Amino acid sequence: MNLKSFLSIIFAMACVIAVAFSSCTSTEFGGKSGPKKGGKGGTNKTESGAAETGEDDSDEAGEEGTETPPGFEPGTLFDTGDKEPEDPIREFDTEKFAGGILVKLLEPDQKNQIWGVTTKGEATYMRLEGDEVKETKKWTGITGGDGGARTYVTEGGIVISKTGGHLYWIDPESTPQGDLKKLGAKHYFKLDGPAGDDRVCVVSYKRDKKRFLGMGYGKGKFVEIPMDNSAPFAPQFGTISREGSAGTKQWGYSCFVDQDRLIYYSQWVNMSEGILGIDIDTMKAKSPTSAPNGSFKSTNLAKETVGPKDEPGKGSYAVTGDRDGNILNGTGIYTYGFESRSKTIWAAGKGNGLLAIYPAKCLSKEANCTGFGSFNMNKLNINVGPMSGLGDGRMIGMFRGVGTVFLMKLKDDKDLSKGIDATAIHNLEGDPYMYTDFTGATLYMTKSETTFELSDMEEYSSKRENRGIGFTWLDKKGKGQAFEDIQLEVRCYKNGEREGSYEKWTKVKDSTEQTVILTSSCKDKKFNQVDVRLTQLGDNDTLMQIKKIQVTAYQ
Amino acid sequence: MKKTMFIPIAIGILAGIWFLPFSCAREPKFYLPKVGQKYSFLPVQMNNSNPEKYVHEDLPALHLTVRWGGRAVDKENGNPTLNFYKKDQTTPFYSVPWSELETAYKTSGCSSDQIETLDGPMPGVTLICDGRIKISEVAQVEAVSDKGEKKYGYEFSTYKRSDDILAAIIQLY
Repeated sequence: MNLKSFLSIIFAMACVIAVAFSSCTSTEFGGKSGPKKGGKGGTNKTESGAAETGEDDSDEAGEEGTETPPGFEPGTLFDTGDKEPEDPIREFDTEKFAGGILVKLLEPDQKNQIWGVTTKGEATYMRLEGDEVKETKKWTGITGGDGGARTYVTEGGIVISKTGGHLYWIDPESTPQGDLKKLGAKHYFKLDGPAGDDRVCVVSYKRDKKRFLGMGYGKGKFVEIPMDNSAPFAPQFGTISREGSAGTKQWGYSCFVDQDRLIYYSQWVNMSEGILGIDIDTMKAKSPTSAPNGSFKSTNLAKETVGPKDEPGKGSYAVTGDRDGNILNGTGIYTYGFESRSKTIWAAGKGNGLLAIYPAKCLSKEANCTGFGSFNMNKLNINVGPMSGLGDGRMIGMFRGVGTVFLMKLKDDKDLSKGIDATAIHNLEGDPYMYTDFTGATLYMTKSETTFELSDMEEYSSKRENRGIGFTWLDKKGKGQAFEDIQLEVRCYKNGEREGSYEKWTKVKDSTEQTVILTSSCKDKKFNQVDVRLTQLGDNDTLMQIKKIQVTAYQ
Repeated sequence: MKKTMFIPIAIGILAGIWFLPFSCAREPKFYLPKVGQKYSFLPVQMNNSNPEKYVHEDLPALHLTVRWGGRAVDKENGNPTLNFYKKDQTTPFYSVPWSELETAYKTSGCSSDQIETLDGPMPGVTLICDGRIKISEVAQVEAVSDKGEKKYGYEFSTYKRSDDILAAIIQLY
């Protein structure tokens, strides 16, 4: 064989292998994502347009809202004592009133962001549009001692804690991609105090109109680090504002913060040493059994509802909680995730492919749980461990070891027996060995978007026009609180049609009073969907003081 | 194209095809869901979520899948020794390197019908037909790689693969 022939053979072989290799990798990681419908991400255009339309309409309409227009009965104040969340704030005399009422808890309007941190020291930001990852960004150099990463999504990005007290902060908009450690003290800080193998579990919260990071480590130790009070709310690494102690048990492996009551809970792996709590206001130990589900006992889900009970060795691999401050711990559970729209709690088994979904009340209020189901993901060779909700009916689950990111949702919010869909939306190419919150599911609420389906109202008629809607809200402290530093926007539309623009409505009445809303999309029209968006203004936390909201359709 | 050029190129293409499996085998693809792939699940049980209920009764044959941190366990990469423990036991009742266990479908008395259910040898999958592992009795699996790295599995998903084969999946991490 001459040299020319030999080179031809080598060239042809190389071509074949190169083509084959590229097809191998592209099918692994480069495929198109799944379906395009649904999700809050798709509403961005209309939201930005709403600001313009809304401002014009709102001032004028808001003046009208100061008095109840004729024909819009304010209803009868309901005794709000110890009633269920879905009970009305105001009721109506059905002989005089045509229409219906719906009551809901606030549903957080999160940013459609997902963060994945792998044992390779990489953090990936994934921005969703609809059900697809439309943008990813990656940072490296996130190292520390052995073990996983504790993550917490903040208003301006994410804080990552690696074993031994190595803290990292990323703002997805402004932090240059690449090695975080090379970016200096703003993005990397070694906390003094934690031992080399201490886990440092970090959360973020608002206290006295200021933002903080709080973290537990070692034997019950807790430190607080202030954050900037303007976007992107960077941590002021190097400054310790306060310190406290929750006790002498090892903690910091996983954690949860009750944003309402400002209580931080944490435990070691599998709750092997029990669970501790600390009151962030006073920096003193707080018994976890003071959580709302502290004395709850289920008659048929005993293992799954360990909750805040201090039973060493019987808790989840990683503790978490829901937006009502209930602590979620269960034997044999990797972790739980709270889903706000369907008010369900999702449980991932410890490596066994179990995914169970419960009505949220089954882990805090309803002793004999019904309407829950279990799924065996291993039948399709997939498995989720870390879970975190998006606040809009969708739950994100990560496949430990493999790195696949799944977007999961119920086929029917109201009927679990119809099953779930799980779509692989990204692959992190590493082991997402991570804990706590990687979507902002438990962050203090700064914005909510709650959809009311009028067809759920018993008295509602789809054939009649709606003359307008009433908005009533209930404060957690009781009646009479003022609606302060919160922006109210609404839009009304027919299901399946374009949502349209949000319009502001000002001069909202005090807690338990009714405000009649007559925006252009909600007045004298046929519609069966009402979206209510509430946005916290300034540094206050008044939005989080809203217990529930009620929409009244006047027909 | 000249004949003198065509033949070497043809040989090259054929040789390239011959090497294809090795180029793709660089990264195991098993259990790596493709981005965009959608799965649908129906509840296996309503109003019963106790993980213990996942464990069916032991059947004559055990179809065992073992994942090392999510990927298929691999005799060429770590070849971990698997130590199976019963509840409250500190010494394993059965220890075996994966390279040995993966051939159990040949050596444990499986019928040809049972072997056919494997659909050919799969990484991280084996079939055990002599009852040496009763999965209902296993409380923990410890895996130690040839480099001394350890991973653990505590709870296992099982389901009935056929009338006489119980499938179990052990995830080690």
